[in-house]
Amino acid sequence: MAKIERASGIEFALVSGNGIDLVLDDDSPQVEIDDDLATKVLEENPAVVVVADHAEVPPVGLFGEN
Amino acid sequence: MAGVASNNAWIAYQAQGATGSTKLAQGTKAKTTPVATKGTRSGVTGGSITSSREIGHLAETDANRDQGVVYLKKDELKGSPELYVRRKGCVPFFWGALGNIASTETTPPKVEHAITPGNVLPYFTFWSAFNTGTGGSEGEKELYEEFINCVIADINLKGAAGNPLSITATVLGTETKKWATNPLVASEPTMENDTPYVFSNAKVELGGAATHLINDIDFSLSNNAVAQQTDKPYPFDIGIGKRTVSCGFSIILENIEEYNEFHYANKKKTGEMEIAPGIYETKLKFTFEIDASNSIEIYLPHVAYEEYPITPNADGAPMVVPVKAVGQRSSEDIVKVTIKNEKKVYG
Repeated sequence: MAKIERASGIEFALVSGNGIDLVLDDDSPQVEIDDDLATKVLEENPAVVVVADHAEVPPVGLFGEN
Repeated sequence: MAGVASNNAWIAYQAQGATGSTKLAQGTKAKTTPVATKGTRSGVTGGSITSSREIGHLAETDANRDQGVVYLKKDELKGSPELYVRRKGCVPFFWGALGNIASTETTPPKVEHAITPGNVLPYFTFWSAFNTGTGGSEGEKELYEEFINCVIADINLKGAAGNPLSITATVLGTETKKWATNPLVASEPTMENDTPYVFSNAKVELGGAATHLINDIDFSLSNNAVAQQTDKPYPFDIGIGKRTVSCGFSIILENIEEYNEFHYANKKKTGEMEIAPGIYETKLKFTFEIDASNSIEIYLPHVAYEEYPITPNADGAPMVVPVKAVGQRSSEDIVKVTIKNEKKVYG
């Protein structure tokens, strides 16, 4: 599992499609989801980041290495 | 007064999703409880959404020459509401028709919605209200209906020089429910009343270069959706088919380069050429911009002309060519819509 949140300065992030339906806002600032879904979310919306100290951070695709 | 004024009506809509969770909206055909800040409510400029009854006649041999008794074949939820294109209300329509959205809000409220094609479409709940007059009990005079599990089957965006843009969404859904009172009464979204986009906001790029020669647009996206009827008179679900994207526009003819490309696969203006078997492909981008924070960009990276009719006219007026182009698949999205506004739209 990976925990994701909004990048710095982002108030609201929504990703919907490809099997994802996710909203990050003040009511729901962090969400824990499967690693593969997290990777997809990061690809779809650069305003979403993985919580830095989360053990299961998927490195793939995070900074565009892949 | 005899007769009922027909203008006192609105529609509202909201995506059926789970906010703040990873629940998959697209596979979940369940209505969402309306949330005022998350839905959209708007007047219509035409069309509506309603249940549509199809009646059949029994046809069996007997001694009577009159047509047979009637029976209900189906009662489909469908409609094509047409709205002015405003800053918020167009987002769910494009998202619903295309499938994928990634929205980002930064401070001050500045939201960018990147809407791209997906293989699955989100479901929406629609509501409609029609106030048939005053007097009597509320349930007698006001018609409120709720439409559940709706899919935006097609969208059509139209605009012409000097006129506001309008968007028509063809909606197919499964369940219709009639309410005696306004189901949104505790959570009614504010009616959209900001100034709509007009064609004067347009910036057009054809083949990657800006042009000021285009004076209208007719953009259509179809999911070729069908209602799937099984053991009820209303549909079990909505099936989506091949996605087709087309764009018509009128261009003031300044030169014949594009015409030459269409038929002869060469834009040169001199010398002889023969009909070429190849297809000319170009790219098309329409941007409607109210200001830096509010814009709609429709980008078709690979379109081919279907029609480029140059026809004589005895009037002698400058020639305007009604061009038709279609999108085609490539490594890029067949169409990408980017909308900037100050409005969040929830799934």
